[in-house]
Amino acid sequence: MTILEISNLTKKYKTGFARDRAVMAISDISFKIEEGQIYGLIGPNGSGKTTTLLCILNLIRPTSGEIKLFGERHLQPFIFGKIGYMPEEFTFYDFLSGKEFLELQAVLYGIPKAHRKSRIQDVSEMLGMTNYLSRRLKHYSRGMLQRIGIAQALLAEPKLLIMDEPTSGLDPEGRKVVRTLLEKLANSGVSILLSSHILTDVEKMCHKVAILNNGKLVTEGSLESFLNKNAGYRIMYESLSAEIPRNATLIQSESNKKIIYVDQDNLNNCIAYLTNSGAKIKEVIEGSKTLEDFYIEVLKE
Amino acid sequence: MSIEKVFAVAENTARSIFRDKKFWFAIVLWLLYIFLIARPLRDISDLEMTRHILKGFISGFRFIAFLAAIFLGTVIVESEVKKRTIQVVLTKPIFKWEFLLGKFFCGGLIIILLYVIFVVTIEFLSFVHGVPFVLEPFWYLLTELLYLLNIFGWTLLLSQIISPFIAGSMVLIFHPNTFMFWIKEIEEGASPFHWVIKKLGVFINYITPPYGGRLSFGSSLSFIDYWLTIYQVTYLVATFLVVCYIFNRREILKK
Repeated sequence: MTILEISNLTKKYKTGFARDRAVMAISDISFKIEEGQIYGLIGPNGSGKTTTLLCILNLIRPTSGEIKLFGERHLQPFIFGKIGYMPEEFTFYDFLSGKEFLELQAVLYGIPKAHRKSRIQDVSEMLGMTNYLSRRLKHYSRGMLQRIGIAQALLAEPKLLIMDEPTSGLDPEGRKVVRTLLEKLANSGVSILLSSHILTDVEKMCHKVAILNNGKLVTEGSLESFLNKNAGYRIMYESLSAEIPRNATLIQSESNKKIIYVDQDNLNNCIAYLTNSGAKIKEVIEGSKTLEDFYIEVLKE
Repeated sequence: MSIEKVFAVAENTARSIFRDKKFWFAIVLWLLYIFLIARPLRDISDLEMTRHILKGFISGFRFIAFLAAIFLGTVIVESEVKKRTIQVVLTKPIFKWEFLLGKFFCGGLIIILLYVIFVVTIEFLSFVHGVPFVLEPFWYLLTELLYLLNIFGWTLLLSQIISPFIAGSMVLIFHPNTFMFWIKEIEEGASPFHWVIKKLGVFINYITPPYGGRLSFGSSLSFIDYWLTIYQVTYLVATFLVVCYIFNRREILKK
């Protein structure tokens, strides 16, 4: 079942004194998310990830295009009862305690009074927040705020979770807790749309990924198809020359040390080229591309 | 419609104000002001003089309440937009008008609270100094409250369209009494544009919130006061509907 379907989404901002100049925030973006799928939006700063999420949530009005949530146009507020949203910079009511904040969110979700307490208990246990609920939010650390942000998004047992940078600000243990939780939710049928800069997390969690750049969708597909598992080699070498072999992707370059990625068919040609050009090959490792390798390759193109 | 959600928004906004140290600091300043005013009044034996001073005190309070209503109107929604806390509210199954109604309730609550403090103060001062102060509690409070709620709503409406600071300044400048004062000044100065400005003044007088409130020393209510109340209520409802319409159409967040 398709949970979210976006077609040709475009957002232009009018700027200037006479509002006569237009800045294209996102242009012609289309993708869809199926039930139980974890979908990652990645891209550099200002690429349009957050704008896309805010358009879906009706906090920003798209200039054109269509957004369908659960098969319906997204404007009706009742649809938001099935959606959990965690914003990027988790801005909060710092005068509230964790418990008061979750109670407010439970009321806004329309959770019946009889179930509120148990729901708050469940989500706070799930995220290890039980002991901190009486504390005011202004005394929370960044990681704790991130957790309470996730807790409020999970309160109404959503069918679609929209998360902007869910693991940023968390320590490695916290990131693992969140990853495990999201995977568990996806296995139980919850669809998750997340944007993130932490590509290792995206690679570990997501089934599908879309890469945005300058407001445009550069590529979209399953992680497996992108990373072409077990079909390439990473070559680490030292060379003073700036040139890299043809058919190779530069992954990292620090002064004269370089790491490139080549597929199986081009390995021998590449090694021959490097040897002839006087490069000192340090290491050749068999393995798939990482999402980071692919991301850099796509953005360079 | 869920009245529980409306009250939750109102309660949360009220909490944000009551848990703010600046609010309690303002209350302490207010009490200090009353204390300072009460001391010289104690030494005045002339009843008429006391009455005049009390009238001045009432005018001073009206101005403070007026400023408070403008301030509330500019910050009550826009501070949530600025801090982006609004995104964890409007991404819940809540209608935008429910959110706004909650904000209106909270605005009303704060203005009522100001009035309770004011009425208690006035009653206390007139009792202490033996001034025959007659306050028509219900109608006086109602018309004055409705006036301030209208000012609050009017500022809230303008801050949906233009920057909150400009909106607040505009309500302050184009408030009928203030504007009429400027018209008088201009006429006295024989400005060549006085006719245009006068007409503009009359127009502004029609569109800005109806002025209410009849705090008097012994006067009684007239027939027109009742109509004024009905007009004020109608104006307030109309303002709320326009605010809802604009808020529903505006872009909540700008990336």
